[in-house]
Amino acid sequence: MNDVPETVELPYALAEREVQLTLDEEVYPRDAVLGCAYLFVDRCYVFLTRPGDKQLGVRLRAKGEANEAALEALAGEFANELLNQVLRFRIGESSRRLREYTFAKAFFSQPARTSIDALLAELDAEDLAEDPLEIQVPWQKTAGAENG
Amino acid sequence: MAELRFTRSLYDEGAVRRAVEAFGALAKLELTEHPHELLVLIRDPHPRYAAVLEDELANYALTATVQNRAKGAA
Repeated sequence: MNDVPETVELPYALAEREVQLTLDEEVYPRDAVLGCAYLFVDRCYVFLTRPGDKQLGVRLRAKGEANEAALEALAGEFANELLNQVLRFRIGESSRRLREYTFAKAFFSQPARTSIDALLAELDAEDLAEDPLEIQVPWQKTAGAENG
Repeated sequence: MAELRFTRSLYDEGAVRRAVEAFGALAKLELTEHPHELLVLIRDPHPRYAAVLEDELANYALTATVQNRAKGAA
């Protein structure tokens, strides 16, 4: 039995001022890639292509001069953020039905009676003439009767 | 002359059109529709922005695409 989890290769190619990644859309959904790319537009120039069926190409071009180490770091940061976006996407997908159900219940269920209405109805239902605990009797009278 | 090929399945057409409109003052831009892509031809760019025009236009189109998708999902 092999305990080592299967790893997914994220191939990239370096060129002058740019790094290109090729992503498998089965692993990295399009929306996750778009979300990740959106977060990088302030740091570099991002261009998306479709090099093949179920494949996404991402080109990250530095806005200024960048050496090989900087480009590799950029690719690494992009890959990390991509994992983050994929996780968010998958959680969003898996909890979508529950979220839709909750919203539907909140918006379309019968409006509950307000607590004020419930209290007024309860008061109306009570027979105020009965006072077995003598709540309506002033405390001075009850205290006087007990003492004297 | 430079060209940008925006894949339709990745870029929103409205977003690409907005980008072409936004950068129209800085170059002669021609948008051509194809079944799977939108081709933008860039001619006579403003000398001051020629080096970055293509990349900035692409970033603009990407940003607008994501924003359009977010609006559509909301």
